[in-house]
Amino acid sequence: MTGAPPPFFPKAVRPSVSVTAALTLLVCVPLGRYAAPHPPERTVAAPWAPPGGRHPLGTDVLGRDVLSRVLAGGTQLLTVSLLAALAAVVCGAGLGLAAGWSGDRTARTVRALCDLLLAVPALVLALVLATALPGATAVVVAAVLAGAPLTARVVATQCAQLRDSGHVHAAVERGERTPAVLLHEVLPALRRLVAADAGLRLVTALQIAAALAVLGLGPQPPDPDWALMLSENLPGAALNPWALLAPAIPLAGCAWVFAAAARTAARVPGEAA
Amino acid sequence: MHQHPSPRSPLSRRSALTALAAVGALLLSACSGTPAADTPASRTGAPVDGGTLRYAVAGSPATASDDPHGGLGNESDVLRFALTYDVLTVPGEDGKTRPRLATSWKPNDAMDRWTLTLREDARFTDGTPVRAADVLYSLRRIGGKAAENYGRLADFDMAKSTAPDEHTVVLATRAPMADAPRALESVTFVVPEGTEDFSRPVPGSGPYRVERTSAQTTVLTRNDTWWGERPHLDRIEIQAVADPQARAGAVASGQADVAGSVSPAAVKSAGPSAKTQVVRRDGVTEYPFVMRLDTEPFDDPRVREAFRLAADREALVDTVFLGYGKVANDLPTPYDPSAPEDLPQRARDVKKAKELLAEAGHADGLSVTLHTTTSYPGMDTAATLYAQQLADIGVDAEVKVEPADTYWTAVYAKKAFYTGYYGGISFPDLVRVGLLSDSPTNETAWRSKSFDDGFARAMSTADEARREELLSGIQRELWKDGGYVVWGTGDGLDLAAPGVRGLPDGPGFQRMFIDQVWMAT
Repeated sequence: MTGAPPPFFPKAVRPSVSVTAALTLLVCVPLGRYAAPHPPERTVAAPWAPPGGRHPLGTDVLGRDVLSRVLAGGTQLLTVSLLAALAAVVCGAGLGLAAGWSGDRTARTVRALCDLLLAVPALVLALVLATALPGATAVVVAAVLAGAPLTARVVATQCAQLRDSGHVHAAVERGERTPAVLLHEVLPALRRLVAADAGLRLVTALQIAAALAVLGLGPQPPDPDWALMLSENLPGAALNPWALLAPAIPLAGCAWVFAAAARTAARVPGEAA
Repeated sequence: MHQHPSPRSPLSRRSALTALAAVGALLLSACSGTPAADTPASRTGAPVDGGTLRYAVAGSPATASDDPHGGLGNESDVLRFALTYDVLTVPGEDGKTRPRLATSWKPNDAMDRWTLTLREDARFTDGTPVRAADVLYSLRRIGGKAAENYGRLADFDMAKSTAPDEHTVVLATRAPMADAPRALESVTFVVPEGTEDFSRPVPGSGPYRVERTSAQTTVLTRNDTWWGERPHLDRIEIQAVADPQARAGAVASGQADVAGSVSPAAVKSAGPSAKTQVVRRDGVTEYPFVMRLDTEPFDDPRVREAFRLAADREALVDTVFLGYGKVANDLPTPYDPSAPEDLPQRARDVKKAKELLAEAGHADGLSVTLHTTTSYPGMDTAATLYAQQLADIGVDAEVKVEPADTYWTAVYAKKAFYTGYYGGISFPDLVRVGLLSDSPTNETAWRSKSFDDGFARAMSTADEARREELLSGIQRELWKDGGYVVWGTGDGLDLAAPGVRGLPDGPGFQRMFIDQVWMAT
């Protein structure tokens, strides 16, 4: 009993490193713009100047400060991805609960619909949608169509198992109506599953949004967007590699952190990390 | 010029856009230039005979073709055709037309019938002489393939053209056309009469013959029976490489001796090095900003002038072409021999531009959309930087990057303000395609009676000096009042190994005539 002092947080509520990192990113990225040393949309030096002097990461295709652009970028990408992930999870969970609760017939219909949607690759879906819809809308719709079926599948399976559990039976016996049972008894039991799933949906949405932006179907110049910066600066990779690396690192970093956070969220509290 | 579309048929209307725009430098540029064999490099020593030159040039299997009268979508194919077939005329040193298979030409008084005399010592590689009938057959075949080749010879009336004897061709033009010999430069590849199948090598009468060919690599050997000055190289190996970065890399790594058309970034990355030399060709790329005179706010000449004064031309050239280019003065064809040289250079004048906008009723600012695309490297960069510069005169220009595959049908010659593309087109060609009141793709909605009349007069003027004076006169009108912001031109850039001598450095297809190149050992 004389070992290490007890942790500040009880184990059950102690936030994991990855979840903290994910939340920090969501807060910090939109604030980055205010830390930019130069106006991110103005030409301030020669194009593709290597790092040095007033430009620690050099300049980009138009002679704009790479560091400022990286700091200013990402907000739109994260906002769109978050919205897309949220929409996918809400749609997927709703569909999953309906299928899992109502049993055979509805479940089969939902499963068939999900299989159909999952047969189409998410990126192809996004590209087709982007020809008709604005970039951000296309990302959200594609993430829902590609992600919701996955969420629906796992939720439906778990929901079907919970239907037979004691506390759900008790609630039904009490005479509570189905929506109330789903909302108050089933959904809370599935919260970890849904949280973990949301993290994965966020990673997918991020990938779709980045892909569309690289192809020029997302934000338009002169917006500082990490993915757009990749395609803008590709021709100058040999002159200033940082114009390419600097936006690639946060882009990959975000996806990695969200995936890790999702994995952590899925873990049963108290289990070793 | 050969490749300009006819301003008349609906077929070539479509071609006009594609030719001017989508197919690019390749199709548009063959108009003026300096000659191949006369670069400083070739004068630095006596040429050495022998050796194999490996030339990495733009080309992708998807657009590869063996037909010299078709679309010419691959530079690699054009290079092969230019070395294995004869053409009627080639661009010369001063931008003037030089003889090749045609030794001389003479128009009638109306300037709509051109009598060409052909050389008598030209022979195809199968031993048969090159006759007027072969020339006429080839030209008619080019005319017949207008849909594929963007109406390259659409200004000629092939039905009325004749071959009165073995070595004379009389070509009819649809309207007086003083620049007809120029329209026959570079891509009038002559094949034996009756040739329809190009899947196997066809006898040509050019300086080289095909040893073997595939979609990726073609090997040519010297044709010792060619009539012209004996080429120095024994063999030329043409490597079709689609990616400009890969072409530059091929020279850097010693896998090729020459890389055609590389990007400014690739040249800058290669750096000043003993391992490579850079060949710069003037005025190959031009991304003008195009304003439509029939659409607000560009219907007001003060707005157009303000937009021209807003451009920081040096900054644009330094950024878009990384300095490999020159500032331009709002003349769409600055390298045409007829371009007036005494016009004052427009420079950035933010104060005057603001005043002009205020006079035009836009004192509180003005919002416009500037369309651009990524068809050619730097088009999007140019628009983005110009939008910054417009912000300084109080114009809020929103840049819209359109998909490259629909830009030339949905934006080009349709939107009121967008980024255009020209690749060394001649002034008369540009006029026929886009500056006459009835031009098929009058992208600036430029309609001027005096301009139309001046052009018609020039095209029926036999005296060259007088003709250029007339053409120069109508360009002044355009400089003052037109719908173009021509801020600069980018150089064509080729990389070569240090031993390569005599590479052509003129604009356009002139670079394809490499028959006098040699390699120092």
